[in-house]
Amino acid sequence: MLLSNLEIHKALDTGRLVIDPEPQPRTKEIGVKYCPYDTHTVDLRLGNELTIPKPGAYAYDFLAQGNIAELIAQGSEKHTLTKDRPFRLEPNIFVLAQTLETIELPIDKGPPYLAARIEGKSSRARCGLLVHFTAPTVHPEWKGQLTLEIINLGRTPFLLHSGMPIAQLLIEQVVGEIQSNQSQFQGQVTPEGL
Amino acid sequence: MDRWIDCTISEGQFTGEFAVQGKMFDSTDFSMFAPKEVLRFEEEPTKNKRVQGSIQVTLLEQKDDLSLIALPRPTFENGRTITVKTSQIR
Repeated sequence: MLLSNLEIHKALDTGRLVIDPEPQPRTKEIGVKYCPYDTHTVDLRLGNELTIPKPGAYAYDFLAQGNIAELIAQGSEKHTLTKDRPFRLEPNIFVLAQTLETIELPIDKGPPYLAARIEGKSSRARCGLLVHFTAPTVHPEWKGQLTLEIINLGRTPFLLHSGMPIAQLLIEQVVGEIQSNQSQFQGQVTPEGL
Repeated sequence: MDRWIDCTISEGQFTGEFAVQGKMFDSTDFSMFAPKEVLRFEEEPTKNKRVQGSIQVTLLEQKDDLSLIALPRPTFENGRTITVKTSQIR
């Protein structure tokens, strides 16, 4: 069950959902150019850091135990966006970024628990921009920025500006209790995108 | 109650995020990215410089000398819940 914009506001007010900094304004009034809330979504903005994977002579092996995180980190380069220096994302180039906002879905208040999904925005998609392509789920108990897997599938470069609305978040209610012993997940390979 | 296990920490892909590597009960390695808030280290890792530290965990089950713990983020290899030796937990 997806939360409407008013239910999203309630979840923010009761602390079942934390978005920091909180997207404002909550409603669009006369003279207000932009409101991050739509009927059942809230926009998230691009943070000021990108990670650009470098070509390497190695191959990622997810069946090998132990140093995948370090290998991924070493195989990429950080890039900082500034107000007057956007990143020019060329066609077919893949970068990682993070949302400017930190998302928190606490479970300490008991059910109903909330989960979320990050989605792209249709306006950006029309230009060929994907902001995630395989890992949209935000689990209950998550706290942190969301990692965006960005690729330009269009034929024209796309300028990525720090603070630009880049994605939208849908909030869902999880039905039922959550088993606190998470051993059912053991053995599952979960690539972090984070 | 906060519980911690030892790990090796290196620079992550974003500021405030680190690559973490640790050992499971059978000495196989696990790795993950984790935010600074759940890590302890004396000296911040830099590019090409790993440091020793610890990561915050939640104890789920304990049996004899083995413990099932939940990590703050999923590992690349074995999900978020892993088994470690009880002696690794502090």
